[in-house]
Amino acid sequence: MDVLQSSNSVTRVDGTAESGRHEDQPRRQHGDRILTGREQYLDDISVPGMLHAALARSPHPHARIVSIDATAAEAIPGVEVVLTGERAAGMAKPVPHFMDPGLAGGLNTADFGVLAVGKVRWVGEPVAAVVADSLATAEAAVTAIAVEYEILPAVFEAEDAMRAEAPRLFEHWPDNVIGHLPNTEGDADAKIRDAEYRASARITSGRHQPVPMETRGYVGSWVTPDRIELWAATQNPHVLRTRLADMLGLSEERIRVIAPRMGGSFGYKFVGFPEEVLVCLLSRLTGAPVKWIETRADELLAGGREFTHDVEFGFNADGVLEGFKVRSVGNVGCLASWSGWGMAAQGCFTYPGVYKCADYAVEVIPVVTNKAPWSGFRAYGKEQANLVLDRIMDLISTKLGIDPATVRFRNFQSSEGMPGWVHNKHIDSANYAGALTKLLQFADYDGLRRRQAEARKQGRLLGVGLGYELTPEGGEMFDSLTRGHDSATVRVHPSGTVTVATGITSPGTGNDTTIAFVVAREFGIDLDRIDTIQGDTDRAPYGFGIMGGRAAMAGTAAAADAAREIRRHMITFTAAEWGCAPEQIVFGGGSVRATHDESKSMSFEELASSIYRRGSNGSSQSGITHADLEATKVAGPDNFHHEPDEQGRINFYASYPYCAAVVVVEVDGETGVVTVQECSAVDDCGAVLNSNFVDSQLYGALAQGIGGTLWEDLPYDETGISQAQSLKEYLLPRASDLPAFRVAHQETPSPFTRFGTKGAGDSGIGSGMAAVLNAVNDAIAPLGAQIHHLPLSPPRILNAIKAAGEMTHP
Amino acid sequence: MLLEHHGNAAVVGGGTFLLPRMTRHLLEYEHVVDLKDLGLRQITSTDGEIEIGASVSYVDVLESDLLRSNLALLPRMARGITGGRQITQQGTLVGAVCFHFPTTDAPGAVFALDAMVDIHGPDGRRSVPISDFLIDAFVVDLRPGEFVSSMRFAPQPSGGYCKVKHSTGSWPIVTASAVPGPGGSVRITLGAVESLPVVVTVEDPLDRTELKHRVDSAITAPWSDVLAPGSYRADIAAAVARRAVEDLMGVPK
Amino acid sequence: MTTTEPDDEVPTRTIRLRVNGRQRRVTIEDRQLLVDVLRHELHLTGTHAGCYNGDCAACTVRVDGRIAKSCLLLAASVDGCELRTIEGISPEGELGDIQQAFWDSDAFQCGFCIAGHLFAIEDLLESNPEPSDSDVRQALTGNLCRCTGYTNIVKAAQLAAQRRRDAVEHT
Repeated sequence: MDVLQSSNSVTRVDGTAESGRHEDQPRRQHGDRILTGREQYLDDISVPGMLHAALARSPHPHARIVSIDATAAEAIPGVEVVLTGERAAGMAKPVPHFMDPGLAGGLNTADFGVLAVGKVRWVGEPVAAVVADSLATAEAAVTAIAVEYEILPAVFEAEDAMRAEAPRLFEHWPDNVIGHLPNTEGDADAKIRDAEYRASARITSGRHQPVPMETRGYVGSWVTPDRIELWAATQNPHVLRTRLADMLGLSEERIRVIAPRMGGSFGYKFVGFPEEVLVCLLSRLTGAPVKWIETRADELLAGGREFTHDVEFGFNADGVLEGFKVRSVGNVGCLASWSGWGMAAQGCFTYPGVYKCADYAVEVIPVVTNKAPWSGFRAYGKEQANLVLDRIMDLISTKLGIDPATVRFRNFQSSEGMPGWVHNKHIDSANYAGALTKLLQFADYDGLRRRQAEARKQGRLLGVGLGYELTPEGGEMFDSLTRGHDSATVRVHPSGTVTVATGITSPGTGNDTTIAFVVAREFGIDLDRIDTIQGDTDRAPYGFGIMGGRAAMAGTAAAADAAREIRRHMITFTAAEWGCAPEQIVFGGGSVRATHDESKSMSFEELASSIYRRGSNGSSQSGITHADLEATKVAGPDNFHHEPDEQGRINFYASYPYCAAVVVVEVDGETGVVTVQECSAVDDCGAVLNSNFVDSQLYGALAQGIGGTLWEDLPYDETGISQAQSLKEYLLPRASDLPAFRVAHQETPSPFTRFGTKGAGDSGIGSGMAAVLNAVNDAIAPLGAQIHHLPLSPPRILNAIKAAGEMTHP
Repeated sequence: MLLEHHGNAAVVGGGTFLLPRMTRHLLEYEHVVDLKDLGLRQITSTDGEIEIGASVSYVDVLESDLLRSNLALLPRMARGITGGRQITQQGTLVGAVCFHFPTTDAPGAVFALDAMVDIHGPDGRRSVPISDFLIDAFVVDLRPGEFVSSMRFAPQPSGGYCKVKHSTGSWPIVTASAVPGPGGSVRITLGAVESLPVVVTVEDPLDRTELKHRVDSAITAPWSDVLAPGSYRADIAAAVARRAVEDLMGVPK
Repeated sequence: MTTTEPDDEVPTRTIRLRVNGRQRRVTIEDRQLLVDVLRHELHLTGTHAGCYNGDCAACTVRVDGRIAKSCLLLAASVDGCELRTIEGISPEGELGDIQQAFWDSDAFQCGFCIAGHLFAIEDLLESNPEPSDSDVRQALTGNLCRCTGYTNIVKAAQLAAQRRRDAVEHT
């Protein structure tokens, strides 16, 4: 770990301050561009001669494509081309998976073309693309494409899809199961059998969607016969370029991918979507730039998190969890090249979370059905394990009448052995009990319980719920382009301004500002002297984009390294110039000066200019051989273990942040409507570089966790059509649905990262979900009611209350 | 003009229902007729009747002193319309009634106040009571070439309202409007619970058992949609009705 | 290129608008939504289209002073109107006080939805200079933000209101 060195260092070590903007930390760079509407997003890209694409989508959940007749569509004035799956297959190789289950050994996989070939497997699957001179014409032409289908039996529920007689989505698979993913330690069966208390539960999670305010979109432009430019709303532009080179058989350096500012992503804009290459093909066919923008209804097709968890566990009279078994079935919809199904695997790995139970058996089964595929979604499945584990804690608490906080304290993994192997993970550092202790004080947990007691006396259903999550961050898949490290080039210009170019991208997290900030700190100059380039494969060094809270651990570290190398050159030059020792040179306040002699000082601009003009091996005064003020570095965390240890363990996450949350809800017993009154959280993402940005990330994650637990869902009807086609059915939290979030941080630095940071960004989802689930159950507990079916919609809550009433008054 | 393009023309009040459905190709019209310039954005009182023009928005309803003292239910209802001032300044009360999406606030509240609907058409004017005007979900008594120019109400200074919905962004799941009836009775109009508003009258509004019995037996074909099954609407209707009565009678919550 | 038959001619018209203080004449298709005319014809791309359904408010503008979702308006219906878009909230090169408060409060992340929040808060503070947090949240009920959880947007609104009150006190 690296202590930040410059004199204006603002690293916070107390970690106790309450949320609120810290004046000593920079605001978002170029915030004025956003605030005045001058920032450019994907749909703002307009290229001369640009045409527009629209997609013809399958109306059937499972059908053979008998024929496609595009004659009528092609005859519509303004229509340039209609592309079908078969023709597209001749133009590009299959779309590589974001994460191919076939590489995981023994799992079922399939190839996917740019458009459907032979068969469709979900309502909405693209079968043809139209390009026209306007979007309206393209959309009209889509309706003129005649596709003859032979309808096949379809299956929508995972348990149904697992039956032997179920229609099979992929003929070459033995069934509809991608695979059985295990995570086992000790002897769960024996521990549960011998435990003093045993319990079980079925917990189900709704089908969720990231819903970034900006949908996906791409503009492909085949500039010359061997050169493409692709503007893409993507988190991983360099990786996308590599994939395009492979799919199109083009030389990689002749492809330029530009990711403009993203209007949010939350895992939705990982690479892997066929439309990325589709617009390139359409551009080649039409000889013009082609834009495709996803509609909100199309975006709402993608799913995620639809799991059923069957949980069995044993515990003792003190509330200590002795053993647990989880069988999780994930309805991942149809497999696709998209980034979704892997959430089942990461959820599986996350067990046993922050708890010390060493006897567990987890099996996660991703099953394909004729629903639309999953896309990646923030927290990437880890929230499921945390939801289950933290519900177990509360079920123990309820059974034994021990406060849920106490139950957690009795079950936390201690920090002993860290850094090192703990269960199946190589943990960096932790103080789980510390974060909960801090939360209980911070949120006045005892006061909340008193308030609850008062409310209950009045017959009100007030619930207090805790949620705790372990949030593995900064993952790296060996032998893939999902990597933990990243790159940065720092360039000091003769005028003393600085450009930083990095392979990291920003969906709005603020990492661009933080990267500039660490460079500014190295040079002791103002942040506004620095500009950051992201998302352009021609201008930034190769990198992996943004995922899993990796920015601070990877690209930011690389930028600091590069700046530090340049600073060394600058010090050497200055020491020679002033005839002093390198240690006597310090940077700060926009200048460089000597500690031993106040007269020795020059501005950073002067220094940069001098080096450009006089850095030379022909002069003894120069100290350096060239004007070398540009450096590229690659850096990343040092906690990956891809070679299995003696117990067969590998560690593919760089860091293990965690978060505790408490939520207060009130349930309207007559209608089942839930009001969220309070939500506080304490997270530990290691050292915090900018607490404003970390706070903001946490607020957003908590909101998404609450939304997913209470309102968000994509239900299907019996014909395989998603019933939530607009944001009037997929209910996102609005300002009046949420409380003012209060957050604080505990900082337990990682020994494996440059600044001691861990990943930040996913934390808040899992703990937020678990806290709401527990709070609602706590609220309705006096009625003898219980609910484990997310979203906890008013009809479901009312049913749970009614069911409890029928049990007490049969 | 409306007659000429019958079937292919849509009349918009504010357009907040119609335009998104046209954008998403759920509804297709060749002509859109905007009533904005017909001078119908007026709330007037004549001969003991309150008249609300077709272009009167929810914000107009909210800000009207005339309505606050004579038709309190309407501003009470309008207060809960979501979508922000962007929507409440644009969406119109009359437009919402004409579109007659059952799980919205306006049809039930207007039904509760026994509105007379003034219709303008190629054969002149006619007026129909709201109970005849609303025919079914999304179906109202408008003939080719006709549009609603205003709605008229007898003054009803007091009104209680309650609405249940899942979250801010959710359509109403059940609404209830309560207005005083003769002899201390209360008339409750339930909205969003069936394709048409359901009316229940209770002689003793404080008799909860009677109220529940009346409401439960009045609901026979509850509305189901993606947000809530009909059984849920039927389950909560009595509670929502009671809360509207309590709102009317100033019972503290 | 194919030629367009007269029958397929899409009805068009020319409208006059005053946009951010500038008089503009623009030829539009009758069916065009205001949001598309602003973005594609007038190249004011700070007005974003997030849903085309009136749900997210990223397309909020002011029409004759009133805030409106421009995906719910036909451009033809605002002929002759005075429009203000996010680009015109403050003079070129400056930030208005609400924009400044948003920046100071870290009240945006991806920024896609920002126009709706800025206009909704501006509209609120005009009628209510001392709003409660609940007033602020009510003023945002027509808006969506997926990044911030709204916490810092509420703080920004309060900061802007406080600064306005302070400025009045000092004059």
